[in-house]
Amino acid sequence: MLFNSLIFLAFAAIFFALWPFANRWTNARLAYLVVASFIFYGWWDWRFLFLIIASGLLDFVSGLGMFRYPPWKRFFLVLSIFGNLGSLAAFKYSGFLAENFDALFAKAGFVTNLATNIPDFMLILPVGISFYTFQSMSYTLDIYRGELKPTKNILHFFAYLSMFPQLVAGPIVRAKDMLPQLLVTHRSTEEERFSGLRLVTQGFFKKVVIADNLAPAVNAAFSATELAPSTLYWWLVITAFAFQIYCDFSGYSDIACGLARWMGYDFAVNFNNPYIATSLKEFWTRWHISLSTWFRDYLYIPLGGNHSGTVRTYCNILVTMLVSGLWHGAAWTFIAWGGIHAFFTCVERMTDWPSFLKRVPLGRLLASIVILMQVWVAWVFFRAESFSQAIEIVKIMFSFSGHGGASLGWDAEFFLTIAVLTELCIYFKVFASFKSRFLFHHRLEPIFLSFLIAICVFFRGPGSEFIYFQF
Amino acid sequence: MVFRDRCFWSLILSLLLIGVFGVVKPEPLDPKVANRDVRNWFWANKVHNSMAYDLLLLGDSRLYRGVSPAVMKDVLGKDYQILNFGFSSGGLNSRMFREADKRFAKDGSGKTVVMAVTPYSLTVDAAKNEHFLQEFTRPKEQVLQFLAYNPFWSYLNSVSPNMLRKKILGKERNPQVYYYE
Repeated sequence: MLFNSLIFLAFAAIFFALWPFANRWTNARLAYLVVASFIFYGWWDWRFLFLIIASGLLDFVSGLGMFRYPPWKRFFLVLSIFGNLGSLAAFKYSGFLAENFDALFAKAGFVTNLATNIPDFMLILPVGISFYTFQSMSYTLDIYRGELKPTKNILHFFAYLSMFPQLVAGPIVRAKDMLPQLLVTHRSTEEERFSGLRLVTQGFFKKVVIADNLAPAVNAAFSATELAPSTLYWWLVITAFAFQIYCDFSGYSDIACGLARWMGYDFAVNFNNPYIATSLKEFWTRWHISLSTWFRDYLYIPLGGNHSGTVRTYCNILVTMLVSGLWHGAAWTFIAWGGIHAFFTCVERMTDWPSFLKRVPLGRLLASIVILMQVWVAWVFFRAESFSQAIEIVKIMFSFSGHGGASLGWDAEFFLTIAVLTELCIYFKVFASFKSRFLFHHRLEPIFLSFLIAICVFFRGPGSEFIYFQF
Repeated sequence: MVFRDRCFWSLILSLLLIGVFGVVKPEPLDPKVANRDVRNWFWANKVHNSMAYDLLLLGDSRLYRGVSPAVMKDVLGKDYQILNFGFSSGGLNSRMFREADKRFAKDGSGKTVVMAVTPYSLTVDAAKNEHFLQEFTRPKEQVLQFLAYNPFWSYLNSVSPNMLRKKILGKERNPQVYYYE
């Protein structure tokens, strides 16, 4: 079920109409949340509910096992990780692995045909599998580290795991933040309901107005049989894609946070204006925060983080970024995306160039521009249909060729201008005073919000899935 | 203003704005070309409506862009039910004839088929009838949305800034392509 569909509107209306009744008793609330979330997920394909249930049961049992039988802690942790990564490997990476093994063996002169022998059901990527698997794993990992007590109530666990606002595209909420919230009978306050409305409206504006109106121009550029040869055009296309993916994903997060707030729950912020970052390190503290902190806490730090010598630190950065790339998709282009981020992050760590640059006049702005260029180049690999196409586009971007047109079309350019201007206003802190004086002024905010809602209705782009659903 | 009032006024003003803009927003010269929802209704209606016809036009995009049942009705009579059953890259084969047969009036006096034959419509690629199959196999809930909800929501059809700009500047031109039902 997509947030931007009529059926979700009906679903949400029924859910929130009945929520106050279910919210009176803990178990009724949890059961209601689980049933609603399963309906939400099962709407796409009910068969894959069994995968969430199986994956959840494994972690629920492993969590209890770790707590009751401490000597067997490690065994239960391995069981949980094996089960979760196993389902990810089977449903997300089997095709990719099989194709690459086939190619490798073919070079050695063997014909293996692994890719053609994968069962059909494993070729379907269950929506949001990477999100709920990671969320489920964080539960057992926290119990293993002694940072969390397992819940004995299976409804409590599944309400946490399957909570519909964040089930298919995050944010990846941590059990230690969410489990206690779910146990408290808390009726959302008027302030929470209003800020929820603000978040949901803002999320829909980002998704249906900005991202969906940029999508056709970006899709057309990447699906063209022959790539346009103009440098300016490709910088424009990648800028459009950068804002499309940002507005698409952060829009989803905003809607998820807003819906949770209507229920009286609080999700941590997942995006914090990443394109105003002045270093890559800062970028990663602003982009998909729930995933980057997940990788930091459960991969980068356990690998040794930055406390095991210089070379080891760079290796840890590389491994974390490559795994992050692979998390996004089973293709070499995603691994390359992670690799590019790792390379630029290592260079930044080695030279600390943003700090030097910030000391000169306009250096801060220059640092931001350089960071954006690095992020843009990485986005090429993220979006390209193939590795060779990505290389070709990067070549054009740096060939300074003026051949061909540089237009994305009037509508896409209009919405891109709005997105860029908004980001510039945030960068130059224009909104800081404007927001408090006008937009968030208690009398003017309803006018501002109602304009946003009307714009979402009448200037929505061609409806499409959220990009991060495929991860 | 307390938060409850802010919620209340946000929703009331939104409804008001939507109501006003829905009335004053410009409509495209040919909604089937410019508007996605109208286009979706057009294709879903062509494939999934349960009406019975006296005459069916079979062919590809040249047919649905070039032959108007409304004009034919002017000659043949208003009661004569005609369906333009053309699809993009549509092929002429037994599959399409069977589909045509299902759409004729069971007690009708005649089952007339007019075929628009082009060299491409007889090829193997055209015989796949991908456009027809895409519409034919569309999930039921989506068809229901296109046919039942979308006409109701047509008041809320989206507009593009470019269309708005052209309307304001008086630069809108007649569309180059037409779709005939």
